[in-house]
Amino acid sequence: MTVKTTRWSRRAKVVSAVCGSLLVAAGAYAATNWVVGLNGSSSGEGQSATIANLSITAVATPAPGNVLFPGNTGDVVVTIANPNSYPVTISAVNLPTSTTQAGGFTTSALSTAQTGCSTTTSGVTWNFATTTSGSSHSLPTALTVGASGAANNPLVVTLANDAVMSTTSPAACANTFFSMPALTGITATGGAATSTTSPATSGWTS
Amino acid sequence: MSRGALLVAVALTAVCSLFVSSGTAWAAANWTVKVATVNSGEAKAQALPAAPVATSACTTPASARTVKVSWAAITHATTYGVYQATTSATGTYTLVMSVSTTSWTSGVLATGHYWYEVKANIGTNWASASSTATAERTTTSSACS
Repeated sequence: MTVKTTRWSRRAKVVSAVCGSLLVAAGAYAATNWVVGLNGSSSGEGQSATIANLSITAVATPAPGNVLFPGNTGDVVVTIANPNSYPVTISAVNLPTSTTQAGGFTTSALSTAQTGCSTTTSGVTWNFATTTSGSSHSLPTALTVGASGAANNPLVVTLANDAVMSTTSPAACANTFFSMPALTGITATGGAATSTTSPATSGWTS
Repeated sequence: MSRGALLVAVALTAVCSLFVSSGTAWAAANWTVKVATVNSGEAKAQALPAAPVATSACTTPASARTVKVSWAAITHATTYGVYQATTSATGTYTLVMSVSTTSWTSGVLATGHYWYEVKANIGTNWASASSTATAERTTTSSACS
């Protein structure tokens, strides 16, 4: 009877110790990767010191395979950099309004503005953008950007047919390179995941 | 004592499971991350449409004083503008019709000499240069084959 009591006491201690360790580990894990507000429309910026914003910028290579012309869509090429120490998987993007236009430039360096093809005249916008800023558009295939310093970070992505040109786009916009309007946000999860091989192709379709 | 320890262990395990499961749910949820850049990608537009080539004109029929103008299709063109001059090949051309096909037949014309050029359009504002060949036809010359 005494032996049995001791055995139960040991088991209780072992279970308690394991459980306690799990609690501490879970707490540490949460503090490292997941201390981010889950409010859908606001930014993660400023909500946690442990999550740094991603950078999505234009890149000239590879050149878009599908080019724009009035009344049609074209590819957008981006590079996504992840400054965090863990991979980030992007599942959706948030777009500016459908009236937010891209500016035209004479070369892929996007350094010299194209006369007559500006952010007020180009007619080039994100495809499927709505009149509401921040509309969310899911990626059919999620994109995982590697951790800082790891492979596939930055990740070069061709967003297939995610730019659209108005039928009234001026002739000055022909043979022009466009700097697409800034996205208003992305929907992402962090933590262990296999990074997407760069360069990749993705893009929302609705 | 043993029963108490067992109860503590069971209770702790339950709490532990709760934390782990809620943590998993938390981890699986998404958040919105702001992007810290001023642009978000690069796109490119094609050049203006090429000028139609191999423009031709013939009367149809030879005695009917109508002219049929034909040209080769241009990629992505949505419409074609047919321009006519009545004084010379280098005279002033006036838009007589906009069509979405690759030919156009005039109405009955006065007996005379006509010149035609064609421009390809994409959308409202993108137009090609005039066709590389000017189609010349008198209304009494050879009929369409």
